[in-house]
Formats: sequence, structure tokens, C-alpha cells
Amino acid sequence: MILLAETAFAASAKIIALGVLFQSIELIQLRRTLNDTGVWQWGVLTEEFKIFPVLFRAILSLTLRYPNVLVLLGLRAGVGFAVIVTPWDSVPVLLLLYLLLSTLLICLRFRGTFNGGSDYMTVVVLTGLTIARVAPASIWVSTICLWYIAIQSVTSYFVAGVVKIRHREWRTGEALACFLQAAKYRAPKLVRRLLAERETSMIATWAMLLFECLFPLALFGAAISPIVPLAFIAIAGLFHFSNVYIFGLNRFLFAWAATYPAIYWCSQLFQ
Amino acid sequence: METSNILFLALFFLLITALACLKGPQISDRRVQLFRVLFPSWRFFDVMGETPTLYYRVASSSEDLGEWQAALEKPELRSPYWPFNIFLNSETNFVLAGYSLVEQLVSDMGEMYGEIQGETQGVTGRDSEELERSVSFQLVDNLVRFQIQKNLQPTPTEAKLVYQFKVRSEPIRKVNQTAAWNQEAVSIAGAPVDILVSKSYTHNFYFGEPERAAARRV
Repeated sequence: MILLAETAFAASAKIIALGVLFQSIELIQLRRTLNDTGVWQWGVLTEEFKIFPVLFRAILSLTLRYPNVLVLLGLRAGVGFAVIVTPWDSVPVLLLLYLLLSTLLICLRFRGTFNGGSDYMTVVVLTGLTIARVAPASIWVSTICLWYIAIQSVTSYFVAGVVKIRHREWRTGEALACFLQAAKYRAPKLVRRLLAERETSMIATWAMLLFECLFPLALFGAAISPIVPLAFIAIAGLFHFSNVYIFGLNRFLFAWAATYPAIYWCSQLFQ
Repeated sequence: METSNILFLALFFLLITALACLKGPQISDRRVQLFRVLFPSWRFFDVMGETPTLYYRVASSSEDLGEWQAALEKPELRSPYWPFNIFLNSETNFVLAGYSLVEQLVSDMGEMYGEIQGETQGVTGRDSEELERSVSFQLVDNLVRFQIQKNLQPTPTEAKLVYQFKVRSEPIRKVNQTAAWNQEAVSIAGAPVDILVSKSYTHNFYFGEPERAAARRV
């Protein structure tokens, strides 16, 4: 199966747009936390923005204060929907630029990020797509953008695996058990019961560590067989799906799924 | 694919491994912090450290302040409906963002007072005022009031209540794995430490429609 760059971009754009659409709806659902009696009160946050120039502060105030931020979010959801239903070669660059800039603004509203890693990857994918759309005819730009997205995604799994495997607590399976019972991530009872035994916890941990550390094979593995990248992508999908069930990390699923077309496209160079 | 390209990529991942093993410098500049989404970090779940957890207590007067209760609890998974959470999971994401606020407060306190070793209750005088004026403290204070308001609903009334909150550092280093997994089976290395206990604050809570509450405040 040969994946064209255009198809990879189209698939990536639709997945990330779907993710952005749901992210926006979630924040609209949480609108009470953003108002003047909520948690992230604009009056409090502006203290922190005093480090910025006046003009930039005015832009932030116009777009991020309550209730204006709801307009930003509503438009973001609408633009996300528009990108889903528009063919890739007709998507105006302004729509992608809006998704990227609104994502950056929303991260500022939450003092850096709202949901950590998923925000990082959303920005990575939207940056790649926006630049690719600016110069759609350039093969060089397309190639660089797809490699940028793919390398960030592959590196994310690889680094996450490497930093864990260095710790004894991860190698013994103890760490996974700890995170499963921590109040912040408390896993469903079924999962906690399944991983109650040291052996099962260790097996699950090592399966995850090997998957993460070997993830660069999603790129190189095509030299062995074209099935290898597809297998890694399928496992990655299952991994994020289980993270939704166990930790509730739904935003990661869409942000990372949007990188898989780029990974597969890049892996074809090794076939 | 040429051998030289494969070698180049292999070297790239070797370099990534080396960088991942190094502990990068902590950049405390607020501008960098605010734009940190532009500098992705993929070091997920690498720290087996402590989780700062937020607790509060509330009563009609400061003498009646009783048991501490957790302010942020991950909502229970409703089994038949959980696939819906793939698309929308705002409650859990709010709890995670709340934890980030608390972690940021602890990090700011570390910068303000140096390494936090124990209870910061009774930070007095100018220190206390500086902490209370900080954005992190005010946001956590807002979070506590928001949770009190939410948890005491749906009584449609208003009340002047006294509340207090604390941040407790809970080490999650050791887990004694046994066949019966439950809270009792978890043995924590070291005791939890209260790293911040706030003063008691009095606040007018409005329980009911948020729009009406806002209008009343005005």
C-alpha cells in the first residue's frame, strides 16, 4: 500500500481537526471554570501577562477574557468541523492558522498548557500542516513537514520509554502499580485488580517499555517488512485507547493518531 | 534507503537517548513557562516522586472546621458509557488541570522559599502576603472555592462560610503488591507531609445558578 503525501496530510488534518473540535467542546463544557467566579478568572491571570507588551496584552484581553473566550472556542470548533469536511487541497491556510493560533492562545489562558502532552502534540501537528499548506506545491516543504511530525511522534514514544527504563521502579513493575492507584490517575477497579500481582504488573510494564523503546522501528521497520510500521501504529492506537480507559487521557488519542499518517509516509522510504 | 541514511537516523536516536538521560535545566522564566507548548517535553511519568494533593475543609465558623476532604477526585468511570469518554471527558481533564495548578503552586513556593522540606503553615508577615498575592495561590484558592460550591450544591441558597485548604505531598514510591489490591495493601514510604496550610478565609458562597451568583456579586 503506497501512501501519497497528499493523502497523509489529508488524513492527519482530519484527525487533528476532530481532536480540536472535541477539545473545544470540552472547554465550552467547562465554561463555568473560566468565568469571573470560576477558577481561571481573567482578573487573576492578567497579573501574569504584565510581562508582555501592551499591544499583545490587548490582543490577549480581547480574545481570552470571559465571555470572549467562548467565541474563540466556538469558532475553533466550527473551524475544526470545516477542516474535517473540506478536501485537503481546498483547505484555506487561514483555517489551519486559526486552529494553531487559537491553540496557542488557549494554552496561554491555562498558563502554558491545559492538558500537557496532548497540547504539545496538537501544536506540532498543526504547525506541520499549516506550513505544508502555505507551500502546497513544494515537495521539499511537504517532505520536511511530514518528517517533522513523524520524528516528533516517534521521539515522544522513544523518550518516554528511555526515561522510564532507567528507573528501577519501572523495571520491577512497581511504578505502573503506583500510578494506577495514585489519586490523580486512579485507574478503574478492574485494571487495578488485574495488575494486583507482581507478575502481571511486570509483564504489562515491560510490554509498554519495549513498545515505547522499540517505536523507532515504526520508521526503520519497513526495511524488514512493510507490515512492521503498520503493526507498531496499530499497537500505538491500542495503547492510547487503553490510556483513555485507564487514565482518562482522551486528548492524547487524537493528537497522536494525527501523526500516524506522517509516520507511515516516512516509513515508506525504508521499504 | 541508503545505508548512510539509516546510519544517520540511528545516530539521531542515539543522540535522543543521550539527551533523554540528561536532566535538563529547570527554566523558571515566566515567558518561557507561558509558551512552553512550543518546546515539547516527552518525559512522561518519569518521576517517581510525590504528588501534591489538595484538601479543604469548610464550616459555618472557624471553630467548627472539621475533617479535611480531597478537593480533586477523578470521576468514577461509568462502565457502559466509558467509550463516550474517548470524545468528551471534560470532568477528568478538569481534575488533571486542577492538579497542574497545585503542582505549579508548589513549584512557585519552591522558588520563593527554596526547597520545600515540610509544613509551610504559619508563613507569616511579608512572606505570607507575597505567597497569597501570587497568581498560583489565587488560582488554587479559586479552585477550592469552586469545588466547595460544586460539592455543596444543589442547595439553592447563599451562605457565609469559613474554609481552609492545604497542599499535602503524598509520596507514592512504594507499593506492596499483594493478591488483594486495595488501599490497605499500599504501604507508602514515609509519611505524607503538609507543605502548605492556608489561613482560614471567610467567603460568601452562592449556591444556585452561576449567572445569578455573578449578578448578586455585582
